[in-house]
Amino acid sequence: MNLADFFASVLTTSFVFVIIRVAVPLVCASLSAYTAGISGMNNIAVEGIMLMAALMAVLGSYWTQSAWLGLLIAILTGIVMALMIALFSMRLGANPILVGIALNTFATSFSIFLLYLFTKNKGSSASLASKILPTVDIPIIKDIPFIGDIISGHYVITYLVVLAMIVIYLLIYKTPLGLRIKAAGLDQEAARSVGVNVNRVRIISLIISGLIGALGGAYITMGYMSVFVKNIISGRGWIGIAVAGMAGSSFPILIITTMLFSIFQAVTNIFLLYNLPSELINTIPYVAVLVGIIIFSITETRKRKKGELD
Amino acid sequence: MTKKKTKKISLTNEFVFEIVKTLISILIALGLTFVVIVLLSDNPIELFTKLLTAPVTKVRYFGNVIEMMIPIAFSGLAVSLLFRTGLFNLGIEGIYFIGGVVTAAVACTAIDSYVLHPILSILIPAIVGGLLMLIPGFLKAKFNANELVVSLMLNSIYLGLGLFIIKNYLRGIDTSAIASPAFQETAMLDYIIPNTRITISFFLLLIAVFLVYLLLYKTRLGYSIRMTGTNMKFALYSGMNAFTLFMLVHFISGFLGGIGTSVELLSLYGRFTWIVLPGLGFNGALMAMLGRNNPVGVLISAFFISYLAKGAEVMALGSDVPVEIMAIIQAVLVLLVSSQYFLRKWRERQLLKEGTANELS
Amino acid sequence: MSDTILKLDNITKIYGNGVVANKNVSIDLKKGEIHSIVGENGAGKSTLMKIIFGIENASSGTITYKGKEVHFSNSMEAIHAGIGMVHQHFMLIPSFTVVQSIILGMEPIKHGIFIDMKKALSQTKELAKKYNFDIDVTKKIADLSVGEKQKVEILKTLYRDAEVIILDEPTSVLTPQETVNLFNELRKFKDMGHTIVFISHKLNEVKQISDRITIMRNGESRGTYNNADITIEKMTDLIIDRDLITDYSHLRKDYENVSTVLKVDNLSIERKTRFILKDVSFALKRGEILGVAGVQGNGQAELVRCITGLMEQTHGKILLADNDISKDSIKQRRVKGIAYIPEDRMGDGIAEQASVSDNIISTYYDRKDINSRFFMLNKKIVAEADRLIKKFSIKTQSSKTKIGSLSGGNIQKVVVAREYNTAPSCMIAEQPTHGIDIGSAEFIHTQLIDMRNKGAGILLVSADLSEVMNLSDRIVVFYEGEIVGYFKSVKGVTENELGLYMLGVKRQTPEELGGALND
Repeated sequence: MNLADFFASVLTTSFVFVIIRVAVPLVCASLSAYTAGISGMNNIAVEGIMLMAALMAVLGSYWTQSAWLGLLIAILTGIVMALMIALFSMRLGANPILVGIALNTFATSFSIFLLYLFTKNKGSSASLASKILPTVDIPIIKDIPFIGDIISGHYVITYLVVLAMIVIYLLIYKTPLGLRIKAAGLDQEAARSVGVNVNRVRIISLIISGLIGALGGAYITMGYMSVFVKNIISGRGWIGIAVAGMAGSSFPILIITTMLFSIFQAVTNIFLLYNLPSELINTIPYVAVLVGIIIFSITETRKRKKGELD
Repeated sequence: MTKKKTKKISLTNEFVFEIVKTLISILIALGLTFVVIVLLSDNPIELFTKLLTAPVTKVRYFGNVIEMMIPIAFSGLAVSLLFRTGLFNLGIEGIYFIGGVVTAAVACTAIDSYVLHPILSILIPAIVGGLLMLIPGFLKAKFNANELVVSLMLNSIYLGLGLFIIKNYLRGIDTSAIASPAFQETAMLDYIIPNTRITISFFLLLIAVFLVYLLLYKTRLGYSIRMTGTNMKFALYSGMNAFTLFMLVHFISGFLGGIGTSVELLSLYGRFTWIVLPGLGFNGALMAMLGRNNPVGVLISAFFISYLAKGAEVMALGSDVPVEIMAIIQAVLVLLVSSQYFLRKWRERQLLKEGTANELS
Repeated sequence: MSDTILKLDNITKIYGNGVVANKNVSIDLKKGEIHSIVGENGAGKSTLMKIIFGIENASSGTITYKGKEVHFSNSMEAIHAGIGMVHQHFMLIPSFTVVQSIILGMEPIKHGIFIDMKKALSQTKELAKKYNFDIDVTKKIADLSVGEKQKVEILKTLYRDAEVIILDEPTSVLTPQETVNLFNELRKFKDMGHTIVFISHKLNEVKQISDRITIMRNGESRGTYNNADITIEKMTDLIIDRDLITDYSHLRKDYENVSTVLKVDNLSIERKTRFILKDVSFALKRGEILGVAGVQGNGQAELVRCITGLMEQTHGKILLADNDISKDSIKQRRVKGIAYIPEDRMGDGIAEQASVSDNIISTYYDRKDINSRFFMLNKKIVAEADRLIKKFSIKTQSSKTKIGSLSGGNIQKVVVAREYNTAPSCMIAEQPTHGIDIGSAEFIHTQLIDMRNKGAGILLVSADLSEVMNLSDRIVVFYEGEIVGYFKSVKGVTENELGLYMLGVKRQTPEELGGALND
């Protein structure tokens, strides 16, 4: 590989543009795992939620012939899936992790079930005339050199996700609900004792989690690509869970880690152009997360040994 | 000493209650499936009958049920040991893939013995599986790294690594697909029942179930597994060594996974052809949940699910209902069975009734 | 003292499992009084308070608040009505600040959706000032002392305009001196018109603070009395049938071969900013009970964790019969003769979902007599369990019953039986009778003395001063991670004097303290 070529392709506006493209679904996955997790209700079904939402976005926009209604249907699907976690773990006393595992395996097969039902094809939705969401050229900004190329011209979901990021940040750090969500996650007894309705707070967190996860899923089939193919999320949800696990309750760390990871992923995509063994290159992001988790766990263990935690 | 009580079958007995609960869960799952079939098909009764009875209509079909059961029962056993210890590790999925690659490597090597070759082709992947599971095991035991996330990352890594090995070092030249060369005939397991593809692996499974049962309920290791799984702090306080325990459990689990994948390939495949994760490990997690992490329960669950899966497959032939309808049955079942509070109120009422009845008598 | 503010009428509570927690309890609380509710653990005090506070629903009976019948279905409704509760275990989140803790659930709002942090700060500061609480409201809960945490809890109720404040065993975590402070504050609240419900089993405190006293036993009220009309002896009679103060001296026998079994040598745990344990030295001899007194959170728990191997010290050594065990694993220490009754019974002490027999062997499950080469011998385990169940008169259907379904006292007996059954040379008993019924507590005390008589060294760590005084041969007092007082004999030491050491007011000279190691 020619190093100069490599750097030439990395240090361009289009590369930054690519990073953002790659980052959107990952940010959704991280936020989805994060919002549920800090309320004390782990959502392991992010992958499944994104997968079902991705499919329902395609089917919904095909049925209604409206990209926006398709997006709405996808979001509703995500919320329903997240509420399943609430139903089974909070009402029926199942372990939320097990519920998550079950929902993920369910989504894997059930998405194919639905796909086949409506396309008679188990691999892809290419035969359906589904809609995609428009891109947005931001007036004035789009004409600014460099910045305009990076910021303008993305799919509308990208801007929605940025908005969601800000809203979730404000919600968690600045509103009463945010304080209650954190309290529910840290000590539900204490929260309950001052009248915080822990179950309701968690259900709200799960709804947000489902919504933002679904947004990520819809982005994949209504922006990033324009069709649904089986297993299209390919582990993004799991990466979100891994990142949220590393970030703990810190929102800034969550976003920074996700962005770092997106850069990794984007660089990987460039590597693939260079005739390197693609199977191994594809594992780089996972190795990166693994290394991240190992470093994180080792430092946590050290801290705990020194008694800085607890 | 009081007179020996006659054992009454009653809901207040935990075991009986669990069985009743499972049966009701099955009824609900099947009921829901029936509704879906009614919505999708013109002849729902016929299809539903097929779903339930097809596997017993032909020896070959029933053989298929057993064939489908074996790999998910092995992975179910492997996962159940982890779950039982309180470890949410889904790494068996990756072990099935990379273990399959190892199986291919051994099975493609020329070893001129009908005894030694299969033994090595099972044993080596089993050992490799056990050793590879030590990675998440070590990270968990030493650094408390989240085993769920670590195992999922490893699954994706093993997939890439396995494909890389197959493509570059173990590529079959007689096929255009990405696959290994055909296994040596000496490595393959023989069919032992006419009209089926059931091999010695069936007996290996029964032995594994028995050994895991002994391990869990009769040995010191099993005792510490159960105690650690119910209360980790308690186990630590009691002086049990979490590090050794986690390492051992992970190794045994990976070992079982290695056997599961190798007997699957050596019985049914003849060459390594997977290009994505086979899903058998994830299914094992569902079997573990359905079987409540009890080895016999896992075996029964695996049989039951395979039975329905075969029924669904036959039903799907020439109908509008795809075989993936199994996803609905499976998800509903697993969710209901995992729900501790499901039917609990009902049981409490029974308990109360019995309590007052006892007081009166 | 004038009109009734809260009236309980014939309250009965029967739990789903048939346990009757309250039976026809009637109490009236007057505005501006301090009303104590006394009774031993399990007498139904806590359930009654949970009913008032909306956490539990009464099975029958009525609650009248300010002249209206009320049915609180959750604590929020009770809070809104003006009832506040300070729980025995603080309901505080360590990573929250004082302000956040106080406003949680009732946050001041700006712009319709955001928390008005400015207003929150000024409100809480004002409140603290009004009630003379000296506390920095921007501090994190984790950085507060126990007494300060309790103040935050009280501020929480005041922030919610509580007229009736229920305090559940508020003095159990306090030193005698901090208790005096608390009582002064409570009297002030009373003068400001608040009604205080004081739940306790410490009769002299009750006598000191109350206007009226309601006595509970077995879920029933045994009457409400004006403080002036009842003596401590009378209260004792109503609470239990026999003498409250148990004297075990007749059970004590001197053990012949007095030698040191456990020696703690200059033990320290150092953290970034402070010492949790500092240069702790003492020796525990065979045939004695060494009491460790101190307010909870002064390093006793960490000392125990170091000795048992659950935690690592930064400096110093631990010697068991002259062998250094500082680097040994938990298992090795147990094999060498350490046994441990943990404070956190449900967390460390048992596996709730497992059977009594599984629980009763956990610390010696690999012992030869219940194992063959590969397998555990179920029959022998059951026999051993049955023997212990009988010896410790543990009330359980069988050894296969889930331990979680037993009462607290019986669960603790299982723990003690298990630790006893390894024939330890050194027993660490941490809060061994905390929160269990008097019958079981006495039984456990007798067992500990019996072990002592037979030559075990027992380190008794307890926040219950009377327990320490009743059982110990010698006593050390902990304050902020150090031993600050040492008493060669219990005789002549008063609870009050111990309190002065527990609070750090008094402190002995190094020479005097040296006795803990050298006597």
